[in-house]
Amino acid sequence: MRRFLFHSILFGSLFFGASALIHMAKPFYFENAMFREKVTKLQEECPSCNTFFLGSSLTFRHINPMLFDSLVNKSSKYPKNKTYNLGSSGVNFLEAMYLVEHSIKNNIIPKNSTLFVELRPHSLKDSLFTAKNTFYRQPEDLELVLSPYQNFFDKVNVIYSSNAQYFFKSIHGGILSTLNKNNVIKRLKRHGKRGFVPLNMHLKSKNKPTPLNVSQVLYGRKHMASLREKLKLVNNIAKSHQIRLIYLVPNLSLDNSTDWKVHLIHPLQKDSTLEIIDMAQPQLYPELFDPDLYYDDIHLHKDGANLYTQLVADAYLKLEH
Amino acid sequence: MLFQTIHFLFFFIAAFAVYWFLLSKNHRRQNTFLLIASYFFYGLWDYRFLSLIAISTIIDYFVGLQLAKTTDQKHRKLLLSLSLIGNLSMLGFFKYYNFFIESLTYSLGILGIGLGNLTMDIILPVGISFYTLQTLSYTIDIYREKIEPTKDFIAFSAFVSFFPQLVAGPIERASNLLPQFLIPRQFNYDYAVKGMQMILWGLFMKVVIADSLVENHYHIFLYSTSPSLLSQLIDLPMSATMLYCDFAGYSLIARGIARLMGFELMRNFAFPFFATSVSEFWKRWHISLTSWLMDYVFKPFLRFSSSKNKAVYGLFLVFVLCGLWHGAQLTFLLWGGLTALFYLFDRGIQKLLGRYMKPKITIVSKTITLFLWCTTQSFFMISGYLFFSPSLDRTHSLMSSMLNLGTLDSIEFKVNTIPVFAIFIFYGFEYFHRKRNFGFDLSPRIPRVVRWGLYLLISFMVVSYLGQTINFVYFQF
Repeated sequence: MRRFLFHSILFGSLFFGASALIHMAKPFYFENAMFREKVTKLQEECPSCNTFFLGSSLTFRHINPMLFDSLVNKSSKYPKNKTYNLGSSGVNFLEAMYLVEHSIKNNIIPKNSTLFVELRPHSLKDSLFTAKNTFYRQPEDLELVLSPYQNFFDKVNVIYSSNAQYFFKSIHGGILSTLNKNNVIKRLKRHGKRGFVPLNMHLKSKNKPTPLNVSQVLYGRKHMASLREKLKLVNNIAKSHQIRLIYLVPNLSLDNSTDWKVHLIHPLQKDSTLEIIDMAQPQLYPELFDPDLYYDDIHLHKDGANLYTQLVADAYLKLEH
Repeated sequence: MLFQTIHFLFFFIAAFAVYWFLLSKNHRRQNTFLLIASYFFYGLWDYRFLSLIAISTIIDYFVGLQLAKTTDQKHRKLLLSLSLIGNLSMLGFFKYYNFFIESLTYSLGILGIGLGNLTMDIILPVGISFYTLQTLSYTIDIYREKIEPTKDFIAFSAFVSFFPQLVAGPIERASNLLPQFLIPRQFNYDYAVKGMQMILWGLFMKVVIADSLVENHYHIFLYSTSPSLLSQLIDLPMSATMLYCDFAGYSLIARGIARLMGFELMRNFAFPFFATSVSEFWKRWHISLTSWLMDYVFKPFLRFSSSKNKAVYGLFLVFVLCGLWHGAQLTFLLWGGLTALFYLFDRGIQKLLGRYMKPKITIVSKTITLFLWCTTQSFFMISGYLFFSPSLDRTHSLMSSMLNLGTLDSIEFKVNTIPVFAIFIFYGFEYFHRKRNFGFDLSPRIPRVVRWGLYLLISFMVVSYLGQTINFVYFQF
């Protein structure tokens, strides 16, 4: 029995030791290959960029930086605007917060620049623990997403899972990049302009898409207060680095009575220290919810993306600053 | 409480510590503790159903004792009937009531007799199909005078409710497991290390492989409107792998945990995907159930039947019951019938080709073996259409959509690269160790550094997939 216990403890120490080493070595955006690619390209393609968009594919596929600049630069308010799209597929709201926080701290976003951060709800509960674990690196980040069904055990599970995933995804990512098999990144490398690759409208699916109605929202009211605090915290970090942070709610067909809007967005809009552009308003932007502009249920195609960029630019110019 | 959760890890560490450090000097106290731990383990699912296990335990304990006391055949038969009716009526009510009522209502409806809605909202108690067969084997074996009944009620109760195998098997025989409760257990290092290897490999099978394939499986068999032939051809072996890794993974974890407690459970899977005949396949797949059906259904049927074709009828009976055991659904019944048909058909092929199989390994015999392997596995996968589909309509729609051959671009495949890579590793280990006890049965001759490196690698893989907990497929049976 003693031998067995000794070997068990030794193995446990090895396991946790290796996990700790990985934990120290992994970069903050470890899983997000597209973000990594964009950070690398940003230095070569646009070292003088001063406006950034960060979020999911709803940013990556929807914000055309060149068009945005051409519209904004006409105004006397922002004549030297130069934009870069840092949006990457699959980034959910908490991961976006995580990326913002660490991009600022790591000087990826330079001082005196403007940063648009996508703000959108999780739509499905079960997506929480599956795809991304970057933002679980800090236990307090996980606190935000704990539902009544999740507890301490889930937290431990997820954090250790994150370290192990990094190990395997590094190998996986290495193999993919060696084989050049990641098609989206391949397209980004070949056709991307300042991080933007629109969706081709000719590849539209057979069935006509209908803009997605996000009715299921992950966070209960219980977590809205902590989410608001998180948003304010990230905003304060940005301010302390002289970065103007604007939250951008993308084109989801959420009406104003949705729980998420009532308990998160509306209180934020009342807060004078925060800036928000809300594009999830079918009643205000009906043209944005025309099915003909959609590639699938959620993404706009090239023409849709241009219209979206134009509307965001207009809203940006209308913001008082 | 699922095996792959941290809750179970804490539960097991606590149970292990109490069992070996506080109670190791007295095996009766260990049994009492195992009984409490097992009831606690099961009670976390649904404490209300603990009464069913208790009733089953009490019936069989007393029937067993009474059977040993009497030699009067009529009395013995009466006692056996009491056990059979008691256990099977509970199983029948919870598992089959609605199925039979619906079938009866439908049949009478054809004759114009209306029964109204007699179905009920019944929750299937987890593991009832497993422990019912286990306790029945005890009484039947006593009736057949193969074993002696035990007077130790606590040991018997612990045998019925032993937590590692309570909810999804292996379905143990009293002749194998019960005696182990009656003698003191010694902790053995090598035995425990093998147990740990079993747990690790079982978790790898369940968490890394089965759980990664489950989404694709559900997509094809439940949700996809019209999956092309190509998509289905890719998914079928994946679904078979998913089912195998899910169930065999559970069985292996159960065996590993039992070993750490000083018990040896029976082997439930023996590399079925390397079988080259249908009969061999069913001797390697869910061994505890198929051998139970052979011993308690097929052999008695042969003894009592006077028909010329009794073996064929017996075979159909066994597989239809096997299907019915999996669930009260027409698809399972048909699956059983189809499997029996394949079994007979395969015997014909084996007979035909067997004459070309020389004792010496030649290219011809190798080719025939490969062909037989292909037919065996194909039979299993084709019958899987009925097993995996939730209804006959769905089976029909899947078959119909096969007419659409599909292109490479239209393949619906929702599995990431890492699990696919893991499947190759998995089958590599299984093939390499196919003559050993299980896929990760590492030889002690392998240098410790290599072994520990493998343990670490597999542990990391398991942990990296622990994010979400998916139930074991066989819990629903």
